[in-house]
Amino acid sequence: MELCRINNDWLGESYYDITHKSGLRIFVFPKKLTTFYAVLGTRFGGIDHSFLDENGKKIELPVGTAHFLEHKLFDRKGGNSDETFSYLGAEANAYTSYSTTRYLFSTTENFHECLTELMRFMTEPYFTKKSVKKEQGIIGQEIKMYADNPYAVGNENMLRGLYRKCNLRDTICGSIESISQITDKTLYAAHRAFYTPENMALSVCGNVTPEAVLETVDRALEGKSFAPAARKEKADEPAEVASAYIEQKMRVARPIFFLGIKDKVDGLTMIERRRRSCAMTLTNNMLFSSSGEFYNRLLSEKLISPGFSFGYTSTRDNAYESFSGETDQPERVVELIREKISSARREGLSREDFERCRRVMLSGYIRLFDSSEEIADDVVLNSWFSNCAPFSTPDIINGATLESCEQVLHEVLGNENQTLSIIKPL
Amino acid sequence: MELKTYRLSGSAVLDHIRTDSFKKARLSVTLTLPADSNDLAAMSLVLPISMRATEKYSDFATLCRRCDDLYAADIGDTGAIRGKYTVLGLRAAMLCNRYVTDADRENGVDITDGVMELMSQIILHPRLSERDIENEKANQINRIKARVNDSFGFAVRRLREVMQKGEPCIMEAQETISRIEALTRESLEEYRSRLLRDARVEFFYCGPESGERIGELIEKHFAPLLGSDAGELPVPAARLACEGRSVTEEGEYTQSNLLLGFCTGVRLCDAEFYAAELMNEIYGEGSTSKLFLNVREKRSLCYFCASDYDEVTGILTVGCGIDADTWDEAQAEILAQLAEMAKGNISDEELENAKQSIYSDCREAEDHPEDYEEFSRMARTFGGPVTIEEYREGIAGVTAEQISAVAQKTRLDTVYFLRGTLEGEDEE
Repeated sequence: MELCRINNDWLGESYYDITHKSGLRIFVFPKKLTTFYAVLGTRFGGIDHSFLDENGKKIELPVGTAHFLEHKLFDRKGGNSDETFSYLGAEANAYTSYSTTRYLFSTTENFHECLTELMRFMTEPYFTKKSVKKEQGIIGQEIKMYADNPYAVGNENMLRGLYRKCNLRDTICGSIESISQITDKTLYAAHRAFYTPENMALSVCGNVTPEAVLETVDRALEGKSFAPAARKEKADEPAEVASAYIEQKMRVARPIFFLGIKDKVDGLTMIERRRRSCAMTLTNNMLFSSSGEFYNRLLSEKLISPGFSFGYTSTRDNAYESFSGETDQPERVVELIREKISSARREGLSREDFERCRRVMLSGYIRLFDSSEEIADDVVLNSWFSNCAPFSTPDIINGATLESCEQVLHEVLGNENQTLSIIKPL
Repeated sequence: MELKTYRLSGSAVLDHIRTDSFKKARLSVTLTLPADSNDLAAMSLVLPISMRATEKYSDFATLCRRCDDLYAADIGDTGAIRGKYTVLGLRAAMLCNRYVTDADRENGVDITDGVMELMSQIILHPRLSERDIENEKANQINRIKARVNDSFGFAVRRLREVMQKGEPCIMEAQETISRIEALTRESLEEYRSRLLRDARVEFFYCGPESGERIGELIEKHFAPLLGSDAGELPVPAARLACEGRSVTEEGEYTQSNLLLGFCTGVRLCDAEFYAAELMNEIYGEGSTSKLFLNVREKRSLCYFCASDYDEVTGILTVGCGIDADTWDEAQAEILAQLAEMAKGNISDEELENAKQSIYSDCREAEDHPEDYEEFSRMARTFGGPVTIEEYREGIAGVTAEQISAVAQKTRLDTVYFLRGTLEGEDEE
């Protein structure tokens, strides 16, 4: 195994990139902080509802399987990983996104013992009919909790409107009905398919050496065998939206809107997608941030509140722009957003704004490097999930041009495939 | 990491940590004065309005652009009533000056100086226009009304409103809205003058700049704030009386929320404080707590069940989201777990794990210097441990018997149940 050290002189930081003999990708970011942070991630998330097994047979999974598995992987025969992490003085957690599942811990001592426990999520699944049944009650309450959250519901409705085939249409947790179909066998099958070395990466940050991390991983994976990584089928998502308008009534003080704009990223390489995402971040900030005319005009006219937000989201196979906020006049605000985009397309973007926003973005990136959590998860593991090098971000930001921003302004913000989701008061 | 406290003019102090460990520096200014419920509206609005425009930065966009120019300096306001005190302030996070480009350095860009100037503009030289006041009043009223958007947060808030009715720290939503509507520019100016005159002023800085330089910059930018002599603030009494109330309300939610409010009678400045901290840790903090293991894992009643201990008031809160028909079972289990601790059923492992968890938090503070500030500032206002080391030593000395003693004197004050009327409707 080769320990490949990657430096960035501008940041004054370096990390090691290792491909373990098992196929697991390992990143070690030595940093003289008191807190150690490690995160183990797999490319298995809420959008994965099926896979092709070794024989090419399609295996269907109930909606919510990745999230359910995340809950149940803390179980051990005769115990629970939470107890072990607690005994070791560590805090552990896990979360499932649309494309990934991640298990993590932070600690100030017993790092290698904690890492050994973390690696068991990959090697020692333990599920029983009884424990799966018990978890259905707990996750059922989690589903109800999100069902009362208008921001989660509004966003899910927007995605359901934007996508016709892609599983972004479904919620990550699933429904009470879908999780009732999950059994211990479902979880074992999903674990075998997706918790394989080539489908996973480990990212560590703290006062550690790559050699010591490798030694612990070697011991944890010694004698373990894994199935080949399962293949996934990609939905052929059309350019058009499923629904241009979705409305739901909930207990909210005033309407909350979610405007989604569908982007088409088929055929783009991962680095091209990163550049597109960077250009979108810069363009968004130029047009809609609190430093700009649009935000302040709408705020002073009481059309938006300070919580107005916007952003470009890139998932495994898709990408979209979104705007959201609380307002008494959602249709009027959306009209003004569209007008702002149209006028920017006509008049072009300001070079002064571009340079300012680029400086803001670079400064924000530097600030990530004060936290072992942000380094291991946000900087390193996110880059791996995007098939990009962790230190490629400054070059991407510096390489952005006003022209690349104007291009995405036309291609993405000018896209007419849009969904407006509104949560209205009962 | 070492925190040094410098006495400035008047009663102002600077807590300072000199370090090159981080890429960003932190700076804050905190104003503390006794709370009065008549000031609640002005208190909540004075800084948000001051951040809209200043004498030098004519509107919010100009102010934000100045932050952008200072390498994305992040300045935010904080405002809360803790116990019997109003605690207001500004917090800034900024890149250290070593990241300033050569060209900018030649043009005199100094992030620390620039951020301090910006903060002084907001605190000392705001432009309180009628338009900004009306806008921020509307924003604040919308925030209060939007509490219903978060059912659990709404339930926690309602528990405190019921439990602490009549105390200056809390007021029901409609009453607060009425007071905000009645707020005038004159009353806001009057409150601001009083705040600048009477508040105790505390600065905090953590970063590569020396204490002497930060002291000089404070003198340069905040001189008018340094004349006040707030003197010692009295430590407020703990809430001891328990009402034994049960309040049920309904809301159009899928899930119901059960909240229990207890009085421990133990505050930050009391000898039993460390035992109360550990009681909370064992009872309801994290995924190995008694509440998590029994209410969630054993009975599958909820996704979360946790406790929260407010060391200023001594109030302990327990909350969970449940189905309405499991209210009795959940409440019985929550009370049973407290009774277990009162009976002394705290294992050596539970005690050791709880202590290890707190020790770990103490060590992690090395990476979160704002925790040092919090300790220093809380000790000045409410008593208790002055340093993280003192806190750790206090925790180390606690026995299971001492925790049991705090559990025995902990009394249930209020049960608040928010019944979800849409239960079952969304189940497919």
